[in-house]
Amino acid sequence: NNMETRAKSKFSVTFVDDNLVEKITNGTNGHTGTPIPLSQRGSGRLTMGSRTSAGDTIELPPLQEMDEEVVDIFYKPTELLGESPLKGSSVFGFCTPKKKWGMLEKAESVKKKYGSPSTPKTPKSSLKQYPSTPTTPKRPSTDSKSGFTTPRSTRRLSGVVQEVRTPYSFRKKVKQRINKIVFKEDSSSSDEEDDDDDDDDSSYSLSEPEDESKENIDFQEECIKTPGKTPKRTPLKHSKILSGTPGKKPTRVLEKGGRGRKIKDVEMVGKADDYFTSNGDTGKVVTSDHTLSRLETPRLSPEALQSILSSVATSHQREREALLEEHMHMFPRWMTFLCEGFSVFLYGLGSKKQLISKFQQEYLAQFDHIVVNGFFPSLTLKNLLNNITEDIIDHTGSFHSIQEQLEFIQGFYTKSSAESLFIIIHNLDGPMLRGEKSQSAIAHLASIPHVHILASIDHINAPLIFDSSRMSHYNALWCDATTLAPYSEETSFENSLLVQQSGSLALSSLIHVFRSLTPNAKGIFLLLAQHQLDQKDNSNYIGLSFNDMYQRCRELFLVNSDLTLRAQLTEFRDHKLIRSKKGLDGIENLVIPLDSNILHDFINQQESDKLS
Amino acid sequence: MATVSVSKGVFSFKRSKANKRKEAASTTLDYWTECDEDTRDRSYKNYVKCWQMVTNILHDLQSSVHAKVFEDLVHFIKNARKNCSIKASENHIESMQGQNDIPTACLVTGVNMPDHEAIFESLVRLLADGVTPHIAQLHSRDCNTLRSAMHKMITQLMGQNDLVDLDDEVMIGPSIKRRQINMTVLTSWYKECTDVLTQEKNSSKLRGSTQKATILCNDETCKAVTSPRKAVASPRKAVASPHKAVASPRKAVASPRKTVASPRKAVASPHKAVTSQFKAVASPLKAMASPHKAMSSSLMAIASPHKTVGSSCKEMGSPSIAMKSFSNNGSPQKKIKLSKETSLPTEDDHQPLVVILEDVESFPMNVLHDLILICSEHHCDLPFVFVFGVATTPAAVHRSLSQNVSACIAMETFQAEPSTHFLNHVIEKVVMSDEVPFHIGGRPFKLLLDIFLYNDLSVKNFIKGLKLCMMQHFMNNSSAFLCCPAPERASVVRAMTPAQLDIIRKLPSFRSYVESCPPKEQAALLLEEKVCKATIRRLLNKLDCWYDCFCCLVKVVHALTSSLPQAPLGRQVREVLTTCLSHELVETEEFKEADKMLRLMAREELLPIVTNIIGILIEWVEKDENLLHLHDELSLMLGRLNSLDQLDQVNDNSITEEMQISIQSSDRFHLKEKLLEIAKKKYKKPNAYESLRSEVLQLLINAFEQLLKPVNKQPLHEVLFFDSSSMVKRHLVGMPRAALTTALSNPHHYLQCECCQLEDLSSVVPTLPDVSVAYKLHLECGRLINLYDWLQAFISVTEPEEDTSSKRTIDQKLQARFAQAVSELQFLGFVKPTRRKTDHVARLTWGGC
Repeated sequence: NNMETRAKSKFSVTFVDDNLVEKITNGTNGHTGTPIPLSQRGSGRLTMGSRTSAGDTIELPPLQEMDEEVVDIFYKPTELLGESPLKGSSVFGFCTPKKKWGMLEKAESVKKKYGSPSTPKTPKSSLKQYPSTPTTPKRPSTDSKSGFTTPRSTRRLSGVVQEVRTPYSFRKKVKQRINKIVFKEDSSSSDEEDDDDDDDDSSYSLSEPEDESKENIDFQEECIKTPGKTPKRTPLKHSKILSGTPGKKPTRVLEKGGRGRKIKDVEMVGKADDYFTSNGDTGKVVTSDHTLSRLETPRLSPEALQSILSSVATSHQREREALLEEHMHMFPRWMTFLCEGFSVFLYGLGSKKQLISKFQQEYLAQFDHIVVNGFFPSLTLKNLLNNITEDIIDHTGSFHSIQEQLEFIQGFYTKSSAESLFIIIHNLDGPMLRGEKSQSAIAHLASIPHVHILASIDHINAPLIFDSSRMSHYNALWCDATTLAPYSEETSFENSLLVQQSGSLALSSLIHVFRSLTPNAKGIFLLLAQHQLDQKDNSNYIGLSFNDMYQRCRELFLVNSDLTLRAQLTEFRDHKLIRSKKGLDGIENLVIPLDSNILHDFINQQESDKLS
Repeated sequence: MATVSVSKGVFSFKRSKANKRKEAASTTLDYWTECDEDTRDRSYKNYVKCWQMVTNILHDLQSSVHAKVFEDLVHFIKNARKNCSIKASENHIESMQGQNDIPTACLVTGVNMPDHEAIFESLVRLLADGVTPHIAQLHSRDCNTLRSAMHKMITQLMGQNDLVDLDDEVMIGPSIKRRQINMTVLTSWYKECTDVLTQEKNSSKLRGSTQKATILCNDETCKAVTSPRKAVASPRKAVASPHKAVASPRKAVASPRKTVASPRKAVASPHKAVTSQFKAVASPLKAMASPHKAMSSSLMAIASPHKTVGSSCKEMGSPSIAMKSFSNNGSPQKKIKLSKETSLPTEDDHQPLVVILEDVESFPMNVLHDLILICSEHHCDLPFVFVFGVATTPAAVHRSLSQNVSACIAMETFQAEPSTHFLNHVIEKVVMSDEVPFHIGGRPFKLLLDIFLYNDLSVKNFIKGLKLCMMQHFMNNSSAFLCCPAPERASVVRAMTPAQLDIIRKLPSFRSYVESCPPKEQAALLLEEKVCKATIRRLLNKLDCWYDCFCCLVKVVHALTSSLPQAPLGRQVREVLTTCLSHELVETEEFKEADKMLRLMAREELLPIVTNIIGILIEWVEKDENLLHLHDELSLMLGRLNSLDQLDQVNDNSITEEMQISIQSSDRFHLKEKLLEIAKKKYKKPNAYESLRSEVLQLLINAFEQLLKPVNKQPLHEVLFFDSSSMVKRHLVGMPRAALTTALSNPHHYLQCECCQLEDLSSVVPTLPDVSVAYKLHLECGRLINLYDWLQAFISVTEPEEDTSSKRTIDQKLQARFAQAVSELQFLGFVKPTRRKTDHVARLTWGGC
């Protein structure tokens, strides 16, 4: 590994060995006291996605030329994106560590830190697959090549080194530079190539240095930390929300929660390239085979869940209240925005229902307003519009289409004499409002002069539903309204995996419909239910065929022709009491789409009713 | 007020009638800001005034910016029919086929979708003003099906006429039942319209001519007059007409009859419209038109909503009789000639039916196809003209339409001005105007520009941002009560209360101004009201003058540097303005770079620039002394520049001589030395042009140094300038995802509690909220997450004491908390249930720290 220099046409190419690479990386890093070229590289031009020129180290002449290529000085969005393009990249960063035991390790580390001094015994079950110093590599390929890769568990568990990984782009750059040098010489050194390949894992190999040169590179790459990676925390003192006038003191100091400080803005800039590096490898997913059935109560019933949750004291109660209080100071501001023809969109973690309801009570009592629960699963656009036309405008009469109704509303509220209408939408990104049609209809509503919209959004991808013309119809202003309150109401309609689907609602609605049926129809339904219940252990049960059903019904004198039976079945189908499926042989099979134990409850109840 | 229900998603609250308040404009004022009444009122009023000014300016701009392209468009629409009919008349036999090409204007509007509405609005206004009252505007959102598209188009085309006349009546347009709207109705309605119009025209012409004969009741007129009746009374004819595209014959039979028979307006309104057109077309006919109007109004009185077919026919007959009486004056020969003319329609009597499709690209393709085909089918009767609004390129239309459809339209492309052009106008007229008292500072202006250039290129959004800035200025800034139009300023300053005076005294810029004054004045300024008020007034006026001068010089800087290679200060005025507003121009790197290049500029380049600058300055000369001075000096120098020719020649010779001497040396090293020496000498001895050039530049730079100071150096700049971008940015650029992620990975950021301080974002603390713990754990996973493992990890974080993994029972409380946390993450979109593996959830994001 001698250093040899050879002059080629214009620039000199240096063949470097690993020690030199170390120097280079040291240089760019600034750890060893050499002047930081990072700033010399024109930090202004270091915007996201643009080509960045590398450091001006003497060893790497080819990259210097790139710097001179800049033809025109571009207009830079410094005000929009902030000075440093790396801020908050954790939001969209794609460097997901994929390890089998990452989660448990993390949990363990916390346990060690905060738990009892005597380390609790690792559970037997997981001990088998999860040794304390695991040597299971993530990828077999790198394993075979380099021969060593220690998962970073050791580092994590020790909890001493807290580092941020080098941004991928920078590592790539260094790699490219190395490659360039290598290829210029037309000699591909296997050493470097190897390094390139196990680059992803190499950063974790602090513990077991086997190969001197590798260690060097690894160490260097570890050290090239980008300070801006973690969202920069500006001093909190000078970020008052209502600042702007020196002569005024708009913020009130909140004594109660002890929050003298205001919340600063959050900033972020995404880096899209990394998606491909994280998603490029094979889609093999490594998870354990444990299931919830290992627990005694795998799933809680919704009622139990509710009752338990209500008994659990929520954490940070005081701080949350302070947060809420702080947002409430913004109410007049929201109202001004609304009155001036803007819409207000609230975002941030935590249920904003309570906050908005407060706003509604305090400010909107004087005005016509409607409240829409966007998270409600069977909400329709028609509901929303009908509420406006029927309840608020008092219009009797129907409309042919949504468009017509919208036009009517528009006509009504465009008049200068019209009174303001406020529409509050909890979860504008709710499942039923996400669609193209409802969004453009609501946007249309928002563009009507006397209609004002205050909406909250929660989903991380919610902004994707607004395109530019819709957004301009909304004319929306964003407000951060993080409350950190639990989404109890919003998630109550969701069918979570961890909650037992009891179907009590289904049962009650079934009983409700059933009561209104004729005796014969009741008989038909009971017949089908009984049959289904008899077959509940049969996993291949596809339903009772229509002909079979007809025969049985005739035998019990429930129907006299297949037409009457069909009429009855249609009624059931309309109420979603039964579902029919065509079997493989083309015969119609009838099923009741309910759990067998609900059905059992139902039949039991019917029988007890009959007896009493 | 309960808004929780399992059966309802929408709740309406009508305000009680009891506390009905009468208030129209004061709503905003109630929430404006929380300082004392007087200041609040004033600043709100100022805001309203300022915004009104800006909207007025914008309104004027809106139509003038696109004037050129609109002119072309109007010309095209006016002549479309003429060209078509001329072609048709040339070969009569093929007239039926030849007319099928619908003239289409393809207006390329650019990708800034939000601005298009305004463009088309002004286009419609323009067309309605002079070209045709029959305009239909279609949006893709209304046209999901052909039926709705047709309905929309036909009602708009027919309704327009009545909109003009019956503005005091509630109903607009002939109220035709929805399902009866079809092309037949439109055709007959249009025929009626034009025929009556033609009739009127003819009669007016005839009256003007010599009265040769008085007897006229020939078939020609009768036909023309009674044609509406025919269309109405004999539905069979409508069916028999070649419009086969019309849905079912039954419907066609039923519809025209009902059209007339049901409400009286259907009958009355077209006539009324005609009368109004009379007035416009034939002013000498006024006397004649008025009885006609009387007739039609009496007709309205007679007609009742429930007329039978027969009676409506009778009614229809009566106007025709009236018509006949009008045309009694014409001669038969003349009549024939004229009727020939009518068969060859002129632009006046056959007003085109303009159909505007604002966003052609987002129309469903089948609807667009059918719409065009149907229109082309009827094109011989109805002179359709399409206007397509295209955001991308005209090729997009051709690409999406099939060959047979695009064969039906004869497209011509019109290019609207790009939105940057409009933006430049807005900046010129609003931001740099001296009328509006409110001015925007460097940082917010840069932010708005960034949003414009990097997000949407939409002027509408730029204006929205401007409005927000203005609101923030007047709301947050208690000194904004002084920010009123210049003429009112004197009275406002005079009426200032001591409290308000204190507000001004506390302004940092005013304080630093006071400190710079001699001690005597300082005391007077702080203690004596009168002196203070006078100073404030003087300063504000000075600030106004300064800004005028500033804007002028910005333009000068732009003229000076925009043509430089690489344009270090930017190629647009807006870029120069941003720099000047927030930095001292002469100090900036960019300007130094530009200066370097300017000092190497050739005379041929410099001359036009200087001329240009003088042109800019001359407009401002009366307003400012400094500028006047600058202008005069520059003019002098321009004269000197022009008379330089001989001097240059001499200098050139001397240099070449020197060069020849130097080359004699033999050594390479010596040669280099010598060359360097020569270079130095050359530098030391500038020729006449060079010295003059540096003189010009020095003059300009001195002016810049003196006058182009950033805003925040001016006393009382807080009153007129808004200069904080963070607040505006927070509202304009929402970052929901960043807020969510921050709250999850670092709840301390929001909670500000002592327990959750993290030294590293990836670390976990047991006291974190449950969602946050679950979130942090899930970051460690790949695409699938095992719920059991997740639960175990969650428990070991939240209850480090407990060792549950080996047990089968776990604390139900913990399980419930975990379940809630997971369903919240699901609600937020981080995970979703999956069927790929039992008891697993799929991760939907790829981030992680």
